[in-house]
Amino acid sequence: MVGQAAAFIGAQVIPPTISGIRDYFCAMQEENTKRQAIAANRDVLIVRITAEKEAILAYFSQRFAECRAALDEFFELLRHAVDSRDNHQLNVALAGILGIIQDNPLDDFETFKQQFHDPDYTIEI
Amino acid sequence: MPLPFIPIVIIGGAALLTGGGLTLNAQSKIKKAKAEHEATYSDYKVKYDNYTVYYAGTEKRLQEVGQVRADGMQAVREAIDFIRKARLVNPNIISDADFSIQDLESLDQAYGDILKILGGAGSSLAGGVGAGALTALGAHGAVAAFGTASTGAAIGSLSGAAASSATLAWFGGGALAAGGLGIAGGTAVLGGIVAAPAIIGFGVFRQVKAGQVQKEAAEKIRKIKVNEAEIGRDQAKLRAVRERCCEVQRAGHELTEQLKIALHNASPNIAEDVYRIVQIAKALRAVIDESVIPANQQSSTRSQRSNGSLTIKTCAVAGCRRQASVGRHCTGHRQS
Repeated sequence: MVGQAAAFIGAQVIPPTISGIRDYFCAMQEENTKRQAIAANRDVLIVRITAEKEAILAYFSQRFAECRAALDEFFELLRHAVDSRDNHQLNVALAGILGIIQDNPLDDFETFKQQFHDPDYTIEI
Repeated sequence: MPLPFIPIVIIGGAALLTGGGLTLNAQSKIKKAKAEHEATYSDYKVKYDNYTVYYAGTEKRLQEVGQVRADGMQAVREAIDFIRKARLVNPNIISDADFSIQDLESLDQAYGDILKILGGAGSSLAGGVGAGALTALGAHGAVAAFGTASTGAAIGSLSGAAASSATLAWFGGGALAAGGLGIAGGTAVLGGIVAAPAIIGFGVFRQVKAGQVQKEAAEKIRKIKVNEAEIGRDQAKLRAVRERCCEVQRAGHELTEQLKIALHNASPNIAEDVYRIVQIAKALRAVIDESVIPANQQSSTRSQRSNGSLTIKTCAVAGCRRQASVGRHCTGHRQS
């Protein structure tokens, strides 16, 4: 009886058990690899999107800051021109204001987006 | 217990322990994956809600630009009346001001166009303008082009595989609670020996399922984190839109105020006064015509340099890092 039990265990119990354990380790390894690939892909994407965000913030805040400073000067000139009825100064002020307003920085967005992903493109700030 | 049964008991017990351990471990992995996903999604929801508020605020800014445009056109209307009076006094006075009849009609047309946006010729700018019309006056292009306002519903939950099962826990735990090995227990253990591969197999199965749940959670978390990064980027774009709103608003407001002051002090008999009114009115109309958000996204020639690169130069003065896209000195060093 003992012999039969041992034979039974040897044939019906141990091999499937070993096979199950091996399958477990293989499956775990596979799932682990897939998760690592997902995390790596995620990190690459996030770094790229964050870099784009930082570039947008840096570029446009600088651009608008300079426009703002120039507009302040031209508004001052405009007020003085209207007060003193100086049409020459008025023309200078109006040309300056229109020059800034008609040059819309947001026109650069699409170009910016395309060129940002081009490795041959240079953005020097 | 008879001696021959000892190895049987040991093997059976080991199988049960292993199977139970695998199942419990799988359960714990599923719970952990679910908790991590829920925590990530909760953080994302807060950021998403903040983003929708910011988006709505940007649309409000566009309405404010619309109001400035409406006010500006009202001042232009007054300038048109002044110019017509000046023409009655001296028909040549407007050509002396570098302004033609066609220019006058064009200004009149522009005023009429604004009224149409507001809903018909009977509308008036003087009595205030509704929000919808203000947005139409302000936008010249949709805010949506600059902000995707993405939803998070699809990534907010894991599939049914993640749901915990009491039966599974029972299966893992109940077997360990079997205890009591007697002869009857020996029979059960023997039965358990037969079931040992099945128990271990079930444990392995649960581990594989847990792995799938972890993978699903990792994929959803990936999408959430990428969405979060995209929201940050879109918010940066909307910030640029707000800056542009501010720029157009300030210019429109300043020109409107100065036009009103000039009209107050001007005489239709004096050519210089007429000239001043004409020039400010033309400039104001040009500012009103300017878009906040470009209707198309074509790049401007300004952004393209001869060497094909987009270069944002800094000031030529040593140590100064301010932008100097116009000339080679920043505003501060240009003045000095």
